[in-house]
Amino acid sequence: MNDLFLLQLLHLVLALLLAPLLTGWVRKVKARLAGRQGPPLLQPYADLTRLLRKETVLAHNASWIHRSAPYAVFGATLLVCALLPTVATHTLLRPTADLIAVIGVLACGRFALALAAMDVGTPLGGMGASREMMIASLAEPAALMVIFNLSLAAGATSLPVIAETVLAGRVGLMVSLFLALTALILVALAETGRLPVDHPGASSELSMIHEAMTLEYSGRHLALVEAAAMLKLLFFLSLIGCLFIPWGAAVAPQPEAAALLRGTALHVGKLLAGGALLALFETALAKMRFYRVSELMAAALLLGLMGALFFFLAETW
Amino acid sequence: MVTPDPSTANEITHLTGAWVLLMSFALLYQKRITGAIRIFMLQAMGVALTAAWQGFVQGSTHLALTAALILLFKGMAIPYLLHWAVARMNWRRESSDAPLGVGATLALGVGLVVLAILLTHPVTAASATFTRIHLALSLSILFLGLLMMVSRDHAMFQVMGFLSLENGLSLAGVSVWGMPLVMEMGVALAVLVTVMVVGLLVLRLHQRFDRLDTGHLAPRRGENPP
Repeated sequence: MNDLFLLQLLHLVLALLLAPLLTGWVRKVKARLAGRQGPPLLQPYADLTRLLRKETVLAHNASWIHRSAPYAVFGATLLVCALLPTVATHTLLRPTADLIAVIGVLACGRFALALAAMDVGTPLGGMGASREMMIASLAEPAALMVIFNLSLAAGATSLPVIAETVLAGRVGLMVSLFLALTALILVALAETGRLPVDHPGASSELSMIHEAMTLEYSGRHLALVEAAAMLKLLFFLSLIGCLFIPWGAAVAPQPEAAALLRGTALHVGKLLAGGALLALFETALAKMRFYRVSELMAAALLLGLMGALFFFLAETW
Repeated sequence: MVTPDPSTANEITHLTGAWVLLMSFALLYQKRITGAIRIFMLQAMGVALTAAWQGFVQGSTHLALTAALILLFKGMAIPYLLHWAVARMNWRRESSDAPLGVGATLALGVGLVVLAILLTHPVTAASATFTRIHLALSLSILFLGLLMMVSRDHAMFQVMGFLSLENGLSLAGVSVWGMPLVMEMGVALAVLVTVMVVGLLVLRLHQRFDRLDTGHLAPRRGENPP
């Protein structure tokens, strides 16, 4: 019991510590690819502590929704990050680490933020909220199709069970897994607001999606919202890591310290590699028109569907 | 030489096969001509990789040679020639919308994949899972190439469709035990000749109508103009 709790705490603290580092790493690699020096790797930590110290300014007509939303978003995102079996599969919250629940909790956080963006009544906030919701409504079916694929393979929607199934290896799943991975990458790009869909750190309000929702926030509220965005990026990269390349995660119910250390090191390595790939991908792409996002998400949905079809072929009828 | 165990070998072949299928899908999605050529190149490289891997697993020099030929012709020469032609004719900005819409075309594509699976399943019921999946993959790629050819008006995109269809044939060929090299050579030659013939046709179309939209041919055939 105690060990399980400590392991869960390890996952939680790791997520909190690594999220700003990952964002800093992606920014750094992107800057280097563009031939710039870029901000220091630890800049996001400095930004967050600065924001936390600053005074919070609220609009006159801001209601309790606006004030409480940052905590909801941050809490929901941190929770799903802690649920991922990145270092070890046997943790305290293992029975609750269900893929559908995880997507649902994430959606709750997004709902809170969209509500808060509309609360103050500025046009840009409402616009950002409606755009975010449109993308979410397109990305979620695709995400569910990926989940469907994985649960067909593992016979469960539980994250640790899926990771263990992939680790054990089964014949004939490669095509399904590859197609599901591609679909999940497309979904992740849309959900985290990365380049073909949204411009992270956009400076023009008219083209913003995620940032437009946070325009009214300042001080510790802004710190929480930004930390939630960083955690979300971490979540999707870790999700891809722990579902499709789970090698390194400790699967024993009572893992030894060495196994945990190895798991942590491999997890950080996977995140750094994934972040570098993301930066490379973003450098090579231009932002797509907003109304083409639906086509991209349709492609993700159909790729997931195709993966499920090939899964049935792998089974003996 | 170390030969990997059969199940790992099959998994890797499936992975490269899935890559080729994914590229077929990306081709259906693509609207720009330079992007389509790049995707075709990546697809051909996937086929070459499959051939090389199978050559390694089966220890066959024929397959290794086939891989080299595929890489040389379809992975390098044809994309290079297409890029050259596009630059030369100033078609760089040419693009083609799928008349049905991208979503519907992709959905049709998935329908064709279902058809491929349903067609291959009864034939391969007695064979191993590997053959079944691989044949379904190849047939799907062939169908998606056909879909590309019928769903676009633009002549260059129809050529890309044909070329990706042929990639599906190659993929089927390289994963079969004992595919003779002379077959592969014959197919490669036929593709090269076809590209030349189609290239001439595209050129004529361009000279005549100043466009590459095959819809302009409809009245000449006595059909209603588009």
